[in-house]
Amino acid sequence: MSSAQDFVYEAIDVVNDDPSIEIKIEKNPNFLLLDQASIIDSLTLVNLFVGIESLIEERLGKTISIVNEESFESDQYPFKNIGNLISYIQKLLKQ
Amino acid sequence: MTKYSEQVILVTGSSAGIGRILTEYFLEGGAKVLGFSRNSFSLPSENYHHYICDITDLASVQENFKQIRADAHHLTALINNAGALSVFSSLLMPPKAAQEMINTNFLGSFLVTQECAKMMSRKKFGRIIGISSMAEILEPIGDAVYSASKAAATSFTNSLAKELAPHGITCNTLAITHLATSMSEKINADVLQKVIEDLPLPRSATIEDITNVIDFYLSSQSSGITGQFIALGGLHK
Repeated sequence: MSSAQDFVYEAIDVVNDDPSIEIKIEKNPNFLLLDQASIIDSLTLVNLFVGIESLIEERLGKTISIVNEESFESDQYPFKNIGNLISYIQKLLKQ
Repeated sequence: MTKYSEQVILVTGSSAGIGRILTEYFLEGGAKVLGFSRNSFSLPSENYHHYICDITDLASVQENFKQIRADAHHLTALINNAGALSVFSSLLMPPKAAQEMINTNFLGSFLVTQECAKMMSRKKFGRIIGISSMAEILEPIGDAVYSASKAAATSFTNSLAKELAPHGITCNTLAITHLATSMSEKINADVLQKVIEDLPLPRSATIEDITNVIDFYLSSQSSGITGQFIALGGLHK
């Protein structure tokens, strides 16, 4: 059974394979996503989220929405970096 | 090979009016058409797949898109056609009717487009067309909320055009003048006649007027056409 980290890292591979993406996402928990100091653009971020949602639906038959009301209410901002995103996906998978 | 044989087109409000006309037009052109409406509906074509969907309800939209993905459909185009119209003086407009128009004409388009664009972005191709109305330009008495809801949808489409351009998805709007449908029957005939007479091109729209613009927007040669608004009847914004 794949873990949240597996899904996130596999989606990162898919996004990074796109030659039009100039700055690649690192498989590093501290790599910044939605943060003032982030170096990736919104298109890359959207592709990552869509990729994760698709992989989870394909493999587990479970439909999740990464961006929802809950994601903005969370104490630990889930989109700050890769580590937070993995924890958040883990939480969504348990629901 | 026919004009639309490679296309998979989602039409909201496919069971009646302009949505049904376009659905049948696409089927004749060889497309696979996925239709959304609140009620069950069928057409005698194996290329037509109907989904009972209330586009104003997030859960209904998400559930239907889950089914579309499970059915292994990919989408090449979306026609945001479903619409609601209630004609009342603004001072007499029942709030529920106003809410229904805003939910269907704007929010519903947003919810469906969001899911569609996610699917299209994976293929780096898509055509999104919003069906608007001359009311958006003319802002006639009795249509204040309807006009505003259509204008909101157009503004959304225009902004989306910028956002989705890097994904290979174009977003455009077609504003239609009068075409005899169940929706246009809600408008007072004398008022409608006067509106048509005052158009720069004083006649009702034809189906060919509509499909001509749709063909243009959907054409593979229209990859550089996005954020555009074409109105029939000689109108412009």
